[in-house]
Amino acid sequence: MKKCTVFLLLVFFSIQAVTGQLTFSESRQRDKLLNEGISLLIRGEYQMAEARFSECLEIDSTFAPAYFQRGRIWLEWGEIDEAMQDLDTALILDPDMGEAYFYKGYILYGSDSTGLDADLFDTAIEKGFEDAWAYYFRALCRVRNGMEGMALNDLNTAIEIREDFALAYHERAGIKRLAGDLQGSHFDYQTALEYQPHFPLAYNNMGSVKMLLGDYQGAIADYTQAVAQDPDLGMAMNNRGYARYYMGNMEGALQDFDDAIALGDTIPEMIMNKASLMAKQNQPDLALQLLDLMVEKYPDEATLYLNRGLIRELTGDLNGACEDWQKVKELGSAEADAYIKECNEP
Amino acid sequence: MNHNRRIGLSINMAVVILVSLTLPGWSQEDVKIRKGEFKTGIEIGFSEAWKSIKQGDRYFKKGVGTYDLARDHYLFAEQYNPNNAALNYKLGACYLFTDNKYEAINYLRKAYTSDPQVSDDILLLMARAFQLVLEFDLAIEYYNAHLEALDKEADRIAYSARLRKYLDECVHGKELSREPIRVIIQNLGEQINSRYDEYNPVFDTGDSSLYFTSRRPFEKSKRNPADNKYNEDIYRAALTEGSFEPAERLHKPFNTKHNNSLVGVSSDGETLFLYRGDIEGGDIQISQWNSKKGKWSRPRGISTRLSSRDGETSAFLTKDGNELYYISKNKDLTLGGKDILISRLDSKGRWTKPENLSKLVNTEYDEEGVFITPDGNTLFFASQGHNSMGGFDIFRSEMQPNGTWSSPQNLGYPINTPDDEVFFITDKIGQYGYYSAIREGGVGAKDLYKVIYLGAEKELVFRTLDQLVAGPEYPRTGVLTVPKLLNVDTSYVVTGKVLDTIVGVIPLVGKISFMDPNTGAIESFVISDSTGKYTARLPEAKVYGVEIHSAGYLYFLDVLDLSGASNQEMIHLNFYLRKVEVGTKVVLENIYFETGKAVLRPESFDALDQVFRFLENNPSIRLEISGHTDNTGSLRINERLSRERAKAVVDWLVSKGISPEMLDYQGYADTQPVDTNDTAEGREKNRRVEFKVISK
Repeated sequence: MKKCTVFLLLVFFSIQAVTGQLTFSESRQRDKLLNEGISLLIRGEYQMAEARFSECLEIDSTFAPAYFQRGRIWLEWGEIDEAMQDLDTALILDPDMGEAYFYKGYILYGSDSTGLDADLFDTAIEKGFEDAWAYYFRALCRVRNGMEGMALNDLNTAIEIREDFALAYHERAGIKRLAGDLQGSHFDYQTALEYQPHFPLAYNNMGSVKMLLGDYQGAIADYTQAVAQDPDLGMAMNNRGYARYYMGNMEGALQDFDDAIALGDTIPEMIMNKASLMAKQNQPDLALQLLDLMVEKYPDEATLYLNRGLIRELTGDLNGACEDWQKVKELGSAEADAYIKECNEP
Repeated sequence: MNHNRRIGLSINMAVVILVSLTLPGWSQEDVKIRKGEFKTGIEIGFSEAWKSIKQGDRYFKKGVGTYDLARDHYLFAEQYNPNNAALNYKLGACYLFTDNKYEAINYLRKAYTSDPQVSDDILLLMARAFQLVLEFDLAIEYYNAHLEALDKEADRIAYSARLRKYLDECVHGKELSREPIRVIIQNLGEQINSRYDEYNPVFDTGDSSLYFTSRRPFEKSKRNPADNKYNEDIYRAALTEGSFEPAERLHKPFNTKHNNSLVGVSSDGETLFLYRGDIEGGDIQISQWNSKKGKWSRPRGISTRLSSRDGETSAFLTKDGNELYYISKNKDLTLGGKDILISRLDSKGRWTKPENLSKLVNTEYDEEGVFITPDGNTLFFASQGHNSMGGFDIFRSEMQPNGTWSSPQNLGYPINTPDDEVFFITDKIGQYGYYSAIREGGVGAKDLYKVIYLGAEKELVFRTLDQLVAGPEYPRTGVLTVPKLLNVDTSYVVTGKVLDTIVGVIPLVGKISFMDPNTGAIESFVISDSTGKYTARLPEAKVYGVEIHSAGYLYFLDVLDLSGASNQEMIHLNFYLRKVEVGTKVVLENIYFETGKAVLRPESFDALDQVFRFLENNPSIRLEISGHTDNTGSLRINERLSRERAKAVVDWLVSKGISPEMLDYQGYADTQPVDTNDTAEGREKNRRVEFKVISK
């Protein structure tokens, strides 16, 4: 169906091109309208901008730039279908419009389209749209596809193009962390924050790198900053609880876990952390109650079984512990393999 | 008074329990609470308090088994006078010999602070209390202090070995408690344990029932005068789906009015090993199952070879039934105290003469409670020797390839403590251990516990939560790039033709220049094509000077005013050029000289450039440059001036590169007017420079 539509559009535009030759003044008018529309778009006057582009298209229905710019307005308004339609039309008329490929990819990124968005960013760049955003998004697609090395290259390029690209530093920090370059990761988070001081997620993630580096005090400071910037950032509260636990501040840790959980996004890790803390504070029964509830809610979360097994062991329920560790293995995680060995030994 | 000697040797475990405190030779001080010192200035409450003191003293003197009763009376009296040193000492001793060692320390400290001389053994008791709560450094300090405080050399000699033992236990305790074993020690609960002593657990062959010894009262039980505790009886509790049913007391012939214990079960379950406390210092008997009669036989002595007058306390028969390990006090065979002996079944079914199991296993101190795992490779037993951290500790020894037992290893803390741990067994698969111990939080004094091994230390899991990819903020609807303006053509488009002026249809190829009229700078130029057509794009809507050159044609000058024009429409403009003919005259506009001189003013150069370009485009042409004046002034002067001015123009053109052969000059003064000399305007027109085509 889509191919048919494209074909019909091509035919239509071809006819238009042949029969609808613009006069000098028509082409001048069209261009003037386009630029007026763009100026309005820049100023945020979308309604009037859209009118200009539509008027432009009344003069010349084969004018790709007008479709493209109008598509951007649809996108601004959240009208994704309309945006995609205009972008597609622009590309039929001008297959070399790199920026249009970019915006298509941008729209598709985050949906379940596997690979399509990555290809679009590739094409955008090939067609000359060498904007920092194009490399940025291509990097994200590559990360999603497990190509961290290539993603790193793209982020490097994005940063070369735009040296204050905080998001790019942030994502690069994440890749470096996964690669084990903790110092590099930390540096990139710091840089991201220099360029974008209000960035709670960066503070959170930087705190976690500090945790890995053993700087728990520093991690607490970062998590605190993250929470200050975004009081609903449950993950930062959870993480601060973890850091406080490491610093021996059990009361503070428990408070943080509770606060994180109270925010409503009951993520299994948060409950698990609280349960671990309770077990450490000689409340293994309460910890088990929590984990029992979470296992019911998230029956495929291997970490929950892992921890419940550990806490069951602490209470002397070795059979229960071994059952849980076996479940961890069944769920595809190797984290409990060493413990399962113990179960099999006399 | 020597409590230990009062207990005697007919009791099985009572000696075991208190042996840590009642090693031969040490005596519990009977400190007197003096009335005069006890009574405070307050009369009220004194007589009741003093009565309690007396009652407490009666129980205290009895010793083992009644310290709890003595304690309760002393506590009542303490309410009247909490500061009496002797009372506090006795309270401390009561607690030490019952359950709460921390309270023991509190009271003994209080007593010592009030009166360091309250008793000769207060430092010793404090040391014992500290040892029992694992404060080994303090215990060592007080043991040494006690030793130093002993006045008599004889006492020092008598006690030094014992104190050395205690000090060694403290050293062992420090080492063992530094690296605790990962275990959970679970009390078997009130189905098994009571507020009295329970010990000596034995599983039946299928691990479906647990037998144990308890000193709880039953019906008309009386306390044994030796230790003030009820006699030992055998109990059994069924194990169903991992939980114990309430324990039941066995009937005759297993339980009698004397001390009875089940100390072993053969692997086939058809022979029970029983302890009878009333026979020759304690004896092991066996009872066998008679399947025909469906009952157990009356217990009888196992073998005269194995019994001694000194007493036997517990036994273990190996799975194959060929070896009997048992505990005996047989002085001829032991290294000291009770040892593990071994006897084997010979081919005739008789037990061989017992031997001491091993000098590596047995010590000069007591061993008790032997157990061997079903695979026959591991021996568990309790000992006061080796590196015990106090009282009996549980040890294990492995069977070596040469058939001997290895050097025993302490099972470690917290399985072992400075108190007594005895009768360690495992279930048939060796998953759990069971033993008897005195532990805080127990149901009674000595309870049965289950040992659960936890394996290696494991870290509980904590996780951070991170979002490594931030991405632009959601919802993803906004644009990310700033749109760029289209490079549109906003120029003013002028189009038309360059044509021959006479015919009007002959197209000319010419160069059309559009100049800034003020500066003369060329802002745009185009060349018309063979059809004469041109299209020029001018940047602004303003006035332009237009200059057109075409070979064979006179150059064209004009002004193009685009002010107010629209760039939305094309501007159509044709230019008509005059063909060069011989005799054609052109007045050079905008040629200026200094007054009365033939010096060209700079504002003349633009016009001269036009002539220059004309000559460049028409290299075959010859021009006569002529100067003209009006009729004012003398003819001669005018002739000379007009000629010189013409020459000045020629010189200028030649200086620009025009060949002199192309130029001629003349001065005509006022002889060729083009207008009247009667008017100022006419005279101005007559004052001119012009050129004439003289050949082409």
